[in-house]
Amino acid sequence: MIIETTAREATRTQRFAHYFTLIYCALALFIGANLRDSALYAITPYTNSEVGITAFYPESWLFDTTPGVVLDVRDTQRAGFNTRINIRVLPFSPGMSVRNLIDTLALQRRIDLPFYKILSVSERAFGLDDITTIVDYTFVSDLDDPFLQLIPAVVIGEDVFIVRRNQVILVSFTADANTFDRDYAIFERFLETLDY
Amino acid sequence: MNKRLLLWGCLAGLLCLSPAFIQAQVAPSFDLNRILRATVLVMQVRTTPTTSYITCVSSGTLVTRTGLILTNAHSTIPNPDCTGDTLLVALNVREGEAPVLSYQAEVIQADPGLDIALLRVSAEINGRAVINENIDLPFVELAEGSSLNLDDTITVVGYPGLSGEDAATALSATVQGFTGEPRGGERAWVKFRSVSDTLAEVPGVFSGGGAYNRDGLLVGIPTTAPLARQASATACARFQDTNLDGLVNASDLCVPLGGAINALRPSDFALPLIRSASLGIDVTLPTAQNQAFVASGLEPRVSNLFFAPSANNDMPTTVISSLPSGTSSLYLFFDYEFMTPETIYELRVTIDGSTSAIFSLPPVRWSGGERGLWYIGLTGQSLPNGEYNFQLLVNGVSAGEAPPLQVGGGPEPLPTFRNIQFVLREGEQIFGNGYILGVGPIVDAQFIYDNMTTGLEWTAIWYFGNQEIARASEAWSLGSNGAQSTSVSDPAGLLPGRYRLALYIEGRLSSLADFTIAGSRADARPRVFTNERFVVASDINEALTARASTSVTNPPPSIFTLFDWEQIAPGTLWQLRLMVDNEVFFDQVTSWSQGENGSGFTVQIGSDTAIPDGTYEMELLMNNILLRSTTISVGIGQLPIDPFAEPEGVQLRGVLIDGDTGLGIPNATIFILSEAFSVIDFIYNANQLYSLTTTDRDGRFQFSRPLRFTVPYSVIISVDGYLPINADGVVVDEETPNPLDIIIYMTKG
Repeated sequence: MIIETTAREATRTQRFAHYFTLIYCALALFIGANLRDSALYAITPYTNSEVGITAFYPESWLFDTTPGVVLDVRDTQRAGFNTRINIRVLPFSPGMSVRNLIDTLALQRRIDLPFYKILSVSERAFGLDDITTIVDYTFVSDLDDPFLQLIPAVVIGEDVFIVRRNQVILVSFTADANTFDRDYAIFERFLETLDY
Repeated sequence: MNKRLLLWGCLAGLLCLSPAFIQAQVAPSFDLNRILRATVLVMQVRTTPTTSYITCVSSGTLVTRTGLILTNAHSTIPNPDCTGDTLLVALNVREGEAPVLSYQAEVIQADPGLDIALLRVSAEINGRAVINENIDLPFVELAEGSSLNLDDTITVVGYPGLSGEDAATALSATVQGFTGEPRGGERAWVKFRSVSDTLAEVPGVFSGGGAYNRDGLLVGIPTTAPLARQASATACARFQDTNLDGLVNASDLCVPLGGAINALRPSDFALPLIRSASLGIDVTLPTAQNQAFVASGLEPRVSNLFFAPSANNDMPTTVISSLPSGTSSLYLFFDYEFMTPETIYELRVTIDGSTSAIFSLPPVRWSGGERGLWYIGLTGQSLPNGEYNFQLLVNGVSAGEAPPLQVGGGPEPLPTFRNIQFVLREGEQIFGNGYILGVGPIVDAQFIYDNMTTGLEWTAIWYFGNQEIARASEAWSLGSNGAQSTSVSDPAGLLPGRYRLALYIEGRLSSLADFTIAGSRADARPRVFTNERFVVASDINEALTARASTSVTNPPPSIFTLFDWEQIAPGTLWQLRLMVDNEVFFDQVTSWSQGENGSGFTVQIGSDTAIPDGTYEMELLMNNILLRSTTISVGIGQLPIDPFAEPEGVQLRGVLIDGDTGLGIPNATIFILSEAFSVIDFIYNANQLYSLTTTDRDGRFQFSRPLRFTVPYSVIISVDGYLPINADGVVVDEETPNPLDIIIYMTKG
């Protein structure tokens, strides 16, 4: 049997059609990636002129109002312990050190948080000029409703102490131990946007 | 295709909340489920360095969503029978299952004599502190227990025991009668009988629980106070190795359970405590604390038991030994001494030799003073014919028996004295009458006589305290019916204190009445308390010198009320009542513990922050007679909202299920928005929320805050990995089943 093939060049219209298809695909991928990023990294601005703080937190996080807390947001869509960021402003006088605040917080948290334990205390550069004190800690989160069968979660937290004249800005980040490393990027982005 | 079907299923599930669907449901008006869930088991625990063990148990009822628990005082405040130091609260987490230890609690208000305590959840069981404002527990509302009527059907709820399967239990009962006492009037106790098939008798551990009317409102607290010291083997339980000898036997602590309960303390008595706690008000009496009345320490005792057909101003109208058929009121009077709020007394009544549960009173706490005249009145129930024997037990030991009383036949026209009234007189001038008189030289006693005949010997004996001070005896020379008087006098003035007149006919006690002399004589009422006032001050020392105020614009953390006093004998019973907007939040009857004369008795009304706006009033009473009062207006002069009102509505609960796997979705958050917002308005701000909850490991959820009737809510369920479900206009009404169980299917997306 003899098979005969005849090569035939694509017409100009066909060639343009191929190019446009490729361009549309690239565009679609680009827009899709953009939409994904917009959804993932969408942020909501927060400004507190009384305290002098500006920050951006993830858009779909629940903005809570907790007495004594300047900003309190958490990811309610996250199953398990809600990843949480909050900011408090603590009084600070010349005779005090950050260490005093850490100890005071520890005294209160050992009452409020089951199995509270400080993992490490370190210092880290923050922004251009500041040196911050970082406290990593862990505790067990047990939700309050006694009528539901809830499994306590092991939580890792990080406190960032930023000294500002006679105040200390305490930025706290807490997340389930299983997702802490993954969620930490959110906290880093939050800190990058924090203006005080 | 399947996913689309599931989505429609989800929407249909939410539509089930719509009014059209809900109106088709028939809901019971009596929410037994909620009552059972609000019923808790309270354990008093003693902690030693090596172990913890239960010392006393009782039932209790949550009366606010923030964790206020109404229960008994005898099983919660440490005392010789309940020596624990910690209170633990077990919640009814699952219907029909044993309660689960969930919280620690503390006593914030209590009246040991009335045997009522108000606890507040203070920490989780692991010791972690709780913020009460953030707690959302099921609770019940109160109604006045004095509104109950004979033969009303009530539901008594509590825990029957301590074995593993003992879940909160509801028993039907009927009101059988009422028992009166000087403190509380004719309905100091409501007597009931179980008509339930489940339990013929209400077990002792029900004590502290709740009794509910047909509307599901708490009207009473089933009460008995078991004595650990004398608990029989059946009235207590040994289930712990308290001495750590490796055995559970007779040498271990026996937790008192108590016998059958047939009496309720009406909820009216608990209202002041709940109001005070709800307002965050704390009342202290610094003056009384400085010179507290020292109890004698002697064994409590009762004496001189006799019967009267009725009481007038807590005094017997006359003394009887028989009653005609059809009588529906009988009072047992007796003298008491050395009683304390921790004293436990019991009345056992037999009719023709058979014990009468209806007329008997189970072991209960003493709500009177240290000494005086007391009564137990059987009212609102017809007395069957027969021979009645009344026996009083104090701390489990027989303390006195009344002479037998015969009920039956027609009225007997016996010579009788009745209705003694006292008048303070100087010469021909009258300065006051009643049972509280000022200091003066002569007291006349006026009384009515019936069926007297000439020649009968009659005797009048006057007592000051327990000491006889005057006696007059003569043959009767007046007519058969009328009014007569006798008097006692002292030219130097009768001393302040408690007096008594006993009248006898032919050696038989016919009538008796007590009165108190206190204060200087004035017009209608003696001047016992003077210079009563409210002041605003930062502490008691400043209060003593501060100027009197009738209003204060900015509510301070504390206000003080002070008064001076004249000629009050130590030990005299007096009453202090505090009210805000005419609602009593403090009511105490106690023995006077100061000197006869003085000034600056101080009462502090304080709060952690600022006392609530309102019109505060202090009343000073003796023998139930209002002697003085004063008021102050704080802030706007009235409570800004009714802080005692709690919303009623429907509890929403259910399960969130993965539509593909059929398994529950754990740890998902469900939002209910306030009526002011719809789904499209939601910007993830907590201020927009009415309530939120998280599903448990099985996907179960429940909103403790009830959905109010006819209010449109929006619901948002948004979980990572699933298509969100949103709904506006979710409405419930009185016809909606309560609690409302729903199943919500989520579609992976």
